[in-house]
Amino acid sequence: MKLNVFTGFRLQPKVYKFLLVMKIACFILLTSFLSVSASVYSQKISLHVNQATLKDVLKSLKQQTGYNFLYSTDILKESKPVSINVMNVELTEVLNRCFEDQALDFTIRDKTVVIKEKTKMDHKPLVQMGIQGKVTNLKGEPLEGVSIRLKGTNTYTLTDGEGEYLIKIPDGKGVLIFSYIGFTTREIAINDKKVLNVSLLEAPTKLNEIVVVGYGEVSRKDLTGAVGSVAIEELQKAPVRSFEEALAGRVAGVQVSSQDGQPGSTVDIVIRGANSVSQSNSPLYVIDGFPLEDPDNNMINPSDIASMEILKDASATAIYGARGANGVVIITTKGGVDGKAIISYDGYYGTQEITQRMELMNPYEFIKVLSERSSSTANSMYFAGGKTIDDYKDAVGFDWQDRIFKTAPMQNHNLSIRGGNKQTKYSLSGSIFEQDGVLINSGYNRYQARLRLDQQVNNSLKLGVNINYSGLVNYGNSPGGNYNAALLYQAMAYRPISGNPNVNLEELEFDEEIEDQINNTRFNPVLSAQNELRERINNTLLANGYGEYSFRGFKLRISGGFSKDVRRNNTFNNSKTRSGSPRFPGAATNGVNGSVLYSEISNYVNENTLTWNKKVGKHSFTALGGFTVQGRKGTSFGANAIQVPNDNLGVSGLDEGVPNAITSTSTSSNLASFLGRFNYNYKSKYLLTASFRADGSSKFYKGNKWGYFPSAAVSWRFSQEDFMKPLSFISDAKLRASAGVTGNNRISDFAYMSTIDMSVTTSYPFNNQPSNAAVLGELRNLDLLWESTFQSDLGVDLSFLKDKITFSIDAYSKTTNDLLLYANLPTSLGYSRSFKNIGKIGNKGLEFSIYSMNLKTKNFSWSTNFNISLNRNKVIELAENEEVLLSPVTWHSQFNQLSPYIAKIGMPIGMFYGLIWEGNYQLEDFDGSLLKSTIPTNGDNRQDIRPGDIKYRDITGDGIVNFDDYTIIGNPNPKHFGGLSNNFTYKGFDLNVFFQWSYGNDILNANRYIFEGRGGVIQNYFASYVNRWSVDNPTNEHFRVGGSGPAAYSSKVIEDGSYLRLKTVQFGYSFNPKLIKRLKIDAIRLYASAQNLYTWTSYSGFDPEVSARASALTPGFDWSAYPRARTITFGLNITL
Amino acid sequence: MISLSCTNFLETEPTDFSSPDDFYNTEDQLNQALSGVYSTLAKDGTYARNLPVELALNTDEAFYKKNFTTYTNPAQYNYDAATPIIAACWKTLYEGINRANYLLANAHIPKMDETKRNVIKGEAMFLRAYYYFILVSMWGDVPLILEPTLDGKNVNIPKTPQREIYSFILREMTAAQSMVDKISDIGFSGRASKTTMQGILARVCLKMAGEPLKDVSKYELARAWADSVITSNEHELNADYTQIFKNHSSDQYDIKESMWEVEFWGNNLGNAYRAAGRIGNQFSIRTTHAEMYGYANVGATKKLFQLYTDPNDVRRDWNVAPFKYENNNTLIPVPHGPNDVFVRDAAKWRRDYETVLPRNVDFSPTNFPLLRYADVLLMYAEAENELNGPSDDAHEKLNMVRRRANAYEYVGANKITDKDDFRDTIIDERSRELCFEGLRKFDLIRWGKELFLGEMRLQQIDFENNAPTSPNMKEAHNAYGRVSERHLLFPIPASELSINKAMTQNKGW
Repeated sequence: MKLNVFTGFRLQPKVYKFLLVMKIACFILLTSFLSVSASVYSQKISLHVNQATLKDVLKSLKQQTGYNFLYSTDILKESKPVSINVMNVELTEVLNRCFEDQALDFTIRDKTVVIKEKTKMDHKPLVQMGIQGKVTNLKGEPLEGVSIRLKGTNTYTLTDGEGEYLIKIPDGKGVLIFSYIGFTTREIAINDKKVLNVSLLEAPTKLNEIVVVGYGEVSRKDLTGAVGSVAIEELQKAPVRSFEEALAGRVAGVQVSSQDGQPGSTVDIVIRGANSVSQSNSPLYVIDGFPLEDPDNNMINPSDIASMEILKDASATAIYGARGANGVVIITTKGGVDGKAIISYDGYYGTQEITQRMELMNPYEFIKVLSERSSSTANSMYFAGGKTIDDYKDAVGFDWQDRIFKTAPMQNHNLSIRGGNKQTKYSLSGSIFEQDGVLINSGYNRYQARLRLDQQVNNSLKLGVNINYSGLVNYGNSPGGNYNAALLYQAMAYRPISGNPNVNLEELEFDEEIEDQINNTRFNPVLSAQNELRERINNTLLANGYGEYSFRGFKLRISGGFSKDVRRNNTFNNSKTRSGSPRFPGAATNGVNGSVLYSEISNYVNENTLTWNKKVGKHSFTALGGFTVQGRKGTSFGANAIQVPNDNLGVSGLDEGVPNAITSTSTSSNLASFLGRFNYNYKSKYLLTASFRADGSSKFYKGNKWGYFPSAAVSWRFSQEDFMKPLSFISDAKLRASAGVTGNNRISDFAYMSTIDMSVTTSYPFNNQPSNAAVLGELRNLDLLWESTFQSDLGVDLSFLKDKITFSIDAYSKTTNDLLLYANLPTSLGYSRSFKNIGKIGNKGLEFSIYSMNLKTKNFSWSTNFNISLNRNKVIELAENEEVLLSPVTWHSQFNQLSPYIAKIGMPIGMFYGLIWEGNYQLEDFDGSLLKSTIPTNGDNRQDIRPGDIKYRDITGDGIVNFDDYTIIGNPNPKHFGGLSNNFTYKGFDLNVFFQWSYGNDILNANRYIFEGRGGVIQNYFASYVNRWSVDNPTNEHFRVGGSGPAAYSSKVIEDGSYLRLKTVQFGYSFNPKLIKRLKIDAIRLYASAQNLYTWTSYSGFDPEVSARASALTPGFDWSAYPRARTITFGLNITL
Repeated sequence: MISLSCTNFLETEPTDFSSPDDFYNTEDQLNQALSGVYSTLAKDGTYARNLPVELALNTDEAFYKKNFTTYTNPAQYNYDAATPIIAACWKTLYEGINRANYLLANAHIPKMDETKRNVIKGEAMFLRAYYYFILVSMWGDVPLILEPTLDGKNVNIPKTPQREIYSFILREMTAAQSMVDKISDIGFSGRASKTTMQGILARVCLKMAGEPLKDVSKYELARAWADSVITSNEHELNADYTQIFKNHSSDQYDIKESMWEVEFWGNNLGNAYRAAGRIGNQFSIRTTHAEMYGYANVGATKKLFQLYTDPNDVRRDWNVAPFKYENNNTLIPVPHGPNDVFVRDAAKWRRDYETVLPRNVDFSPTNFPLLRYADVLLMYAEAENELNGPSDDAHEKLNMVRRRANAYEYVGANKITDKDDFRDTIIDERSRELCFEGLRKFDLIRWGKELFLGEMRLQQIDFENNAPTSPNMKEAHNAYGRVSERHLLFPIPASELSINKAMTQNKGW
């Protein structure tokens, strides 16, 4: 046996070779850049002149640039005076402006500018009463296809490929209208001119909006990848703590589901379907350039966000290499602005309440079930002194839901000041957010501040910092524990009435009338919830800084960042809680107890990129190269104590108790990466992007550390082609295609190693003394590699009617290979699982997004955003020899060994798995008291089955229902999901209405097992259980009391979880600026917002957006989930 | 330059755990690894719960007393290859084997005293063989893996024929017993001593002589190993039968009688150690009283009660509860009526004798015996009878056990003359003496499937006709009714079978 075979390794040939190649490539790239840059006119000009002579202007330009200007003095005599006011622009741009209205033209050769009279259009016959000229953009690039119309007539023409035009004008008078898609229309009076050169300004349309992508930004029309931008102003209308809560339905392809409605509960964001079976499917977050795998997104104040982009296809994500496979969310926070300081206050206050309650049985029905279940218990508890069931006919009981739910306040206050000048821009903001939960003693608070500074040091150097600090406090017990430990169970199952009129159940700490019911509800759930301390405090600091140096077409950007999360979890159970009371048998031996757990996660990153831009005629090139390093460290330390003598000190008194287990962990990982991207753009018509990233990670063993992730995309704006000209209603059209490979490295830092555990819990007590025992923990896999996803995407972007309507459709296909699967092993190896690169998952889907400006008049506007996504997921391969992977869910001891989920080759990952429910056995199924031999049993013994017992389908036909009859009974994945947002404005009023939906997904409503017949002996049930089988009511709906059969998952509790939600509504009024001006206030806006206003669903539980045991393998499980609240707030926004 | 720093940058070292590559370097670490091999005995999958309870009940002496119905409850013969409890037992045993494989592969590394090294190696070898002995008794042919598992690459591991495994066990235990200490030098029952290994060797030989191998030549060896225990002068019977079990509960050792025990400790409260077991509450007399909670999951059969034909036999009213607690939630004993012979709880281990307070509802410090001297005597008597018939020697060993229990002896006119009669007496006597000690099902099966299936059928009939009507009696009756020939072996767990394609399922499953 050789254990130390791997110690001899020195240099990794693969890594070394790669580095060598990178070095050579960098050298070649650099030298070629340098030789080209000599001919680049990249001088930046600042010029402020008013009605100056052209001659003076040219002099000044010569001084600033050192260029030579060649002209004969004669031709300048006729020139018109020039007014120009520019800062830091290219020479050509200034010249274009200068010569716009002149009868002169210029050309630049080497460092010489030659000025001549305008050519007289020799190649075209000169037409009397005509006007000719050239239309360019601000950079002097000719625009082809610009429409030029003589105002008030039908006379019009278009520019040619050189941007030149010629139009007949009858009398030399009138106004020409120059219009071009994506540019502001200009009207210019002719005034007998023969030559009219015009430059058009790009209009701020959707096509020109800047989209932030990995390590750069690009205008939307030049985008080659699939990138969804969140309409951030719409999102910010939602009164929520975190952007995650408002993200659902905003961007096609992004599925957002939260586990439940608890403030701060985990939100799962899955982009284009789950890639990974046992590992995380959450995207990479890039916050102001800082890539983080698992940030606490609650630290970000949603109103600090300036833009948010979701990178979806491989072309967009491959630049993030090994962390890109789950998609990337890029968040950019607001910076300062050039101009006077803008002080803005935004605050709202409102309330939240649950949208519905579960209807429970009244005392009469409750006692009826109890007497059917155990007549002796009912007799002793309720029928003493000759009382009968009829005495409870009109009895009024407690609905404990009234006591644990409340109308909860929520408030948020933001104050920001943003301003600066051309050199310095600053933004300082702070916020206080406080939210009580709708469940008593729960809630979330955030205290946050952010500072961003950007400084233009000189023409070439720019520096900036961005620092955010958030203090987060999340408190309250999670209601979804196991069976009878779950708070919602305790409250809803608690008996509604006592048989003793002198007993007030609400005031009792402990219900002593219930005997011998260790597994039942006896401890006052309200009292317990009020006294439990569950506090999760998180202090996070995220700081970024950068320097950008521009020279000769290059931009070098060096950035660094540091983040630290310091978390502290406090737990304390005093004597008035279920877990700390001496009265509760399960807790008595621990007594008052508590724990504190500290953990720290720190990340640091350094990124260095060099960007090069070059334009040669109509060809433009951008190249990006970079090197980054990132490190992560995590530590935790915690302790707990039992039998704490002092109830009042809380966790501070833990030192007085009996010390119990100690937790202490540490881990770290490093990542080093090289990245590169090349963009080619021909007239924004043909676009090409290729990117590459090499990631080296400490998470893998020597030889496997480096992963390589290439991608490429092409796009064709065919609206620029001649054949599209007749289709003038199509203002823009683009076809995109991309393919690439991305990775997923979400495994623990040392998953490739075997471990030895030596924990006090595995000790062996020789001679009555526990002694340390070393046992084998995880099994190594030195071959472990990145999980890699190959994705191809085909997309079309269309704009109609001058961008009034834009439409995007994307089709994608992803295959994830070498899954990082925590794969099952044959246990005869001595291990049950180990990480392997094995298995394959496929996702295919379609995404549509539409934006439409439906109406726009002076006073009224109406616009719509709509998106819909369809994703189909398929397991292609599992671990060796494995056909199916069953996943149990922990929530109830009788069910914990059963698996309601199956991952089966050829099917989506987490399908529901169970028996097919067929109602109840009816009287005709029996011969006398014995079930007919032709009728299959339900798993109970034939002789024990009674009419009214639950009945399942015997798929195997062997007469007995058991595991062999399990089959697929539902699909938790939606067929489609999406969102619809409408914005209306009328004068000072504005209204946003946002709907979000999910269609075709199933939910396993485990609450119904317990509250529709299978609970403890003395517990309350859902009112629906009134309709249960009896001789008089031979229903197939619910089985008789005691007729539940063996514990089994079945289609009885699989429900359609489709829903349509009126998710966000905001209605606002802005005061007329003129009216408030004398108050020295720029703007005042009053608004009302609502979140989760109304939901249309047939789901019977609290809320259909639920996944109490969320993972790719076990989605859509509902057990005792914290109900989602409806929020209504009123707010005020003042800008000074 | 970049390449060099990069290479270092990506070489992080774990700071939170040891890797097996860097372990086993010192004597202390070898001992910690050995504790790890022992701790396999104390898991729920093995003796903390499943081996003495779920996987050993519904024999002619004991039954699972709950009417808890799910699709799977091995204690009630309601199981299949997917049943987690069976998979847990298999997995726990193989984990222990792998721990032993690692230890043995690295035992040469530390610089240490060779005798001490041999003791560690001997105990690890013995435990590994013992785990294989449980596996082979329960599942028949199983994979025989003797090298540490270094990675999960090869998942197709074929079965080894059980004959080979048995001879491995014999070889290994024989070697091990010569390497380890005497129990008098060890001083407590938690470690496997020389005589313990010899006693277990006798058990292995008797199994080999019985079904399914029927290698009757092993009776000779069985008697020889039992004899070496008896003649070692290390052991004798405790004069008070009940004291043996009170000792188990109260953390006392009796190295003379209780030769090898699974050690449990504490109540899993008040400190971080989790070393308590479940014997106390599983076998307890039913009560929900907070001071002494007892699940009473194990009931004694009428047959067991009636096997004690001698009213003076102290074992009956110790092993089979003569009383219950009033209302099930008090500590007030109420004697059972003489005809209450189906409803008595197993009472061999009683929570009153636990000295660790408070008593935890779910956990107890009670040790579980793996080998008692009385068992060695009965094994000797059984082997001697098979070799030489009911000799005086065989009688003497049997009578030693009965004498201690105050039961009449087979002397004079009572002497057994027929070999088959003597075997039947041994069959009964083992139940009287060793009931609930996890041996009965194992014994019945080695004595032959006709005996095993016959006894199950008799119990089914007895419960059907004579047991009081109550859900748990009905469930016990149903459980006996489910037994068929396939239950001689457990099914290979689905978790193994679905991934290991070289594996085949046992007959009938």
